Amino acid sequence: MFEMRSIVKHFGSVKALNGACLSVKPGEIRALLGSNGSGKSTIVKIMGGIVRANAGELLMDGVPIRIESAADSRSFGFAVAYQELSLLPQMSVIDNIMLGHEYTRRGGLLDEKRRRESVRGLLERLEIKCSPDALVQNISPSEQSMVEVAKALSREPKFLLLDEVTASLHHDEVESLFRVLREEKAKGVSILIVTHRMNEIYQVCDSATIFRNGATAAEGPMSRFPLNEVIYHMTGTRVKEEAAAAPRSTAKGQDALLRVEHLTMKPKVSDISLHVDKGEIVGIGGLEGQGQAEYMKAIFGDLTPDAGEMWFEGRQLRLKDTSQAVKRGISYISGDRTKESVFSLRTIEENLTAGDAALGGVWSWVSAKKIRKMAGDAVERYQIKIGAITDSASSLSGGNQQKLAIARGIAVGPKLLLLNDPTKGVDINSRNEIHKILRDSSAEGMGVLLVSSDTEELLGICSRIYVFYEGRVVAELSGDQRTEENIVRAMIGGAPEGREEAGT
Amino acid sequence: MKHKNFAGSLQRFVQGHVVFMAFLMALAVFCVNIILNPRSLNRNAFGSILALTSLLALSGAGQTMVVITGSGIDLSAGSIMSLTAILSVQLMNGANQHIGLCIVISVALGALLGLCNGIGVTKIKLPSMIITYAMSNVITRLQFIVTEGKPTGSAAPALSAALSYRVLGLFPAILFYCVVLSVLLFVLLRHMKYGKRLYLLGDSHSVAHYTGIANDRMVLLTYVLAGILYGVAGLIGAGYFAYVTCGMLDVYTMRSIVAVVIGGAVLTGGKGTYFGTIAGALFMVVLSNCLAVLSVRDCVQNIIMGLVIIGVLTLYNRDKSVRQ
Ligand SMILES: Nc1ncnc2c1ncn2[C@@H]1O[C@H](COP(=O)(O)OP(=O)(O)OP(=O)(O)O)[C@@H](O)[C@H]1O
Ligand SMILES: [Mg+2]
Repeated sequence: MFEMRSIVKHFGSVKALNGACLSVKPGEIRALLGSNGSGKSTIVKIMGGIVRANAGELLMDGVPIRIESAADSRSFGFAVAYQELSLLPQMSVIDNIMLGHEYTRRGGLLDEKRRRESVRGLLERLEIKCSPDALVQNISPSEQSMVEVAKALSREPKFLLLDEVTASLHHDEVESLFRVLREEKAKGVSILIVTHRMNEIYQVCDSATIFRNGATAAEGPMSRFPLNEVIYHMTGTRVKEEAAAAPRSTAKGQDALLRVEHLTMKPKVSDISLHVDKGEIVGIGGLEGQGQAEYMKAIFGDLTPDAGEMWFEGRQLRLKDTSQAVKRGISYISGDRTKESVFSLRTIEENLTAGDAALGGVWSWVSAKKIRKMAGDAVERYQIKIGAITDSASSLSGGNQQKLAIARGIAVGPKLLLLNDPTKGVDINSRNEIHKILRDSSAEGMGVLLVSSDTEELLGICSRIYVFYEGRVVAELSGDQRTEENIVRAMIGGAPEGREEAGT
Repeated sequence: MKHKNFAGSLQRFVQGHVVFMAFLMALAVFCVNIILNPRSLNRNAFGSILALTSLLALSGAGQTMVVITGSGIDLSAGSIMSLTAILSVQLMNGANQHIGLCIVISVALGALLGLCNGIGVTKIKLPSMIITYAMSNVITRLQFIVTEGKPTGSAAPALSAALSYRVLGLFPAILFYCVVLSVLLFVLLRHMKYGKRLYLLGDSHSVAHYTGIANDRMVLLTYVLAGILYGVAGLIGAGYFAYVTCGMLDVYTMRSIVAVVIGGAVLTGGKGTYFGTIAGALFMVVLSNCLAVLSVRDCVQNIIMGLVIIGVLTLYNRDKSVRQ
C-alpha cells in the first residue's frame, strides 16, 4: 500500500496542494476527483517524480520513501499517463511506447522483432487501431491518449496512474480501457484514475478520494459517494438538485442558419447533408474517427471538401481560409489544446481575447482597458482558477486552459459556433455552467454544432443528434428518440428503434 | 523537501527579467571597461556608444518582428541595408537635393525585397533561412553590378548633419530616430491588432489558424515591414557613415540576430520585445567597445564575443516542458 500524507506544493504564490492526503491499496481502482485546479495533476506529477513537493510524507507499506526523479518513481513501480501526454509528436507510436526501456540484443542493437511484438500485443489488448509506425502527431487525440496509456502499461507497473486519459475517449475506447483496467486490477495492480466524467467512476472504481482546493475533502469506498455527495465534497456547497431542463429546440422554424448538402471528402466523409437552424444546438455523435472532426473542419474552411455545397444565412459558403469563416461569424472551439486551442506561451489575458484580436483590421487600435475588462469578465463568468491574469496560459490546470478556449470563442458573439469536444477535461460544475451559457446564447439566435466524444454531453444539450458511422449519417435523433441506447446502437452502425431514415 | 540550488534560482530570476538583465549586463561591462581604462570615460566615447547602439537597434527592428513570427530568422537584413545605403550615397552624391527621393527609394526597395522574402516563405514554403540567405546573395551581387565594385559619392551633408549632430555635445541625433522608432514599434506591437496577432501566431501557427488568424498574410506583411525598416536603416547608416563600400553593412545581419536573442526573443517565435532588442544592442556595442579599448586582437575579440553570447543564452535557456 502506498500512502501520501499532508503534501504541500506551491508554484510561486499559487498553492496547488495544501495538506493533501492520498492512499492506494493493491488491487483497487481509486478515483481521484476534484474541480479544475484542485491539485489532482500536481499530486500525480509528484508520484511520477517530475514535481517535487515542498512538504509532506510518502510511505510505501509504512516505510518512508523519497521520489526525487522520474527514475526513482519508476523504480518504485509507478507508471503515469499524464494529462498533457508525455508523447513525442514526431516519433512513431512504437518508438514512443518503447522509449526508455528498449529491448536490446547483444552489442546494444535494438531487438526489432521483440519490441514490435510487444507493442503490437499492447495495441491489440487496448484495441488501438492505429499502426505502430504512425507518427504520434498524425493520429487523433483519442488515439494519442490510448497510446499514452499503452506506454504506461508497457512498464508493467505496480501502480498505474491515469490522469484524465478518458477525457477525449469515445464510448468504445472507454469500454476497452476499462476491460484492461479490470484485468490489471485482478493481477493486483493499484490503479488511480483522475476523471471528470462521473458515470465512469461508478462503472469501475472501488473507492474515491475527493480534493478541494489542494486538500483532501473526503475519502472512502465508492458506495459512500452518490453523485450529489461527490459534488458537495468538490465544491463545499450543497446545490439544490435542479433537474436539467430537457433540451428543447428554440429554433424558430424555417430559419436554416447553416445548410450543408452532400459534403464529400474522401476517404473520411461520404455524402453527408445536415442543417443547423438559428437558435438550435445540434450534436454529432459517433465512435472515434467516423469523420466528425473532418466534417467540422470542412465547414470552418480548414479542409477543402471534394464535393458538396454549403449555405450560410442563405448565401453560399465557399471558404478558402479559416479567417474568412471567422469574418462571416463562424467560430471554432476545440478540445485539442496543444494543436488547436491554447497559446501556451502567451498570457491568460491574451488567450481569452485572441478571438477579438483575430477580428477587424490589422491596424486597428486595441484598448488595453477594454481587453483587461473582457478577460476579467471571462475569468469570472467561466470560473477560471488563475493566479494573475498576466501569467502564461501554461501555468493553468488542464481544465482551466480548456475554459480559455471556450470563453474566447463565445466572447466574439459568433452566429454559428462549431464545437469539437469543447469541454474536454472541464469539471462537472463548470461544464454545467458552460452548457447553460450555450443554451442562453442559442436562445438569442446563435446556432451550435457540437461534436463530442461524451454521449452524456450530447444528450444533455442537443435538441437533434446526428450519428456518424464510417463517414455517413446512420441516424438523426430528435425528441424522444434521443436516448443513450439509440445513440450507442447507431454508433456501431445499427439503426435506432422507431427507425427513421437518415438525412434531411 | 529540498531547497532549490543557487544556480537554479539565478536562472529563474534571469528568465523572468530578460530585458532588465541585458541592460544590467551592459552596465556591468561598461563599468569593467572604465575600471580597466578610466580614459574611456569621455563624452566622445559615450556618444559613439549611443550612436552605434542606435544604428544596431534600428537594424534590429525588422529582425525582431521576423523572429516573433516564429517563421525563422532573416539573413537578408544587412544586405538590404547595404544596398539602400549604396544607392542612396550614389544618388545623393554629396548634395542635398535628392534626400526625399532617396527616402522613397529606400522604403520602396526595402518593401519589394521584403515582399520577395515573404512570398518565398509563405507561398513557396521555403524555410526562411534558405530564402533570405539566397536573397542576401542576390542583393550583394546586385551592389557590385550597380557600382561596378567601386561605390562613388557620399551622403548629403544635411542628412549626415541631422544624424551625427550631438545634442549637448553628448547625445547623437541618431538616438532620436531610434527613440521615435521604438515608440512606433511599441504602439504597433502592443496596441494594434497587428502586434496581438503577431505574438499569437508566433506562439503557435496552428492554434492561430484555428482562431481565425490569416497566418500567411500576417507573415508576408511582417517581411514587408521588416524590409522597409532595413531599407530605412540602410539610409540612416549611409547618412551616419557618409561613405560606404559594397557590403559594408552586411555585418548587421548577424549582429541584429544576436541583439534580438540577447534581448530575450526565442527563435521559435512568440516571445520578444523591441525594448529587449535595444538592450541587446547596447550590450553588444558596449562589449565590443570594451574589447576594442583593451586593444584585443580582432580574432580574439570574436572568440570572446562568441563565448559571452553562449554564456548568456545558457542562462536564458528555458526549462524543458513536462516530459517523462
Ligand atoms: N507549473 C505551474 N506553474 C504555476 N502554477 C501551476 C503550475 N502547475 C499547476 N499550477 C497551479 O496549481 C493548481 C493545481 O493545478 P493542477 O494541474 O494540479 O489541477 P488539476 O486538479 O489537475 O485540474 P484539472 O482538472 O483542470 O486538470 C492550479 O491552480 C494551477 O494553476
Ligand atoms: Mg489536471
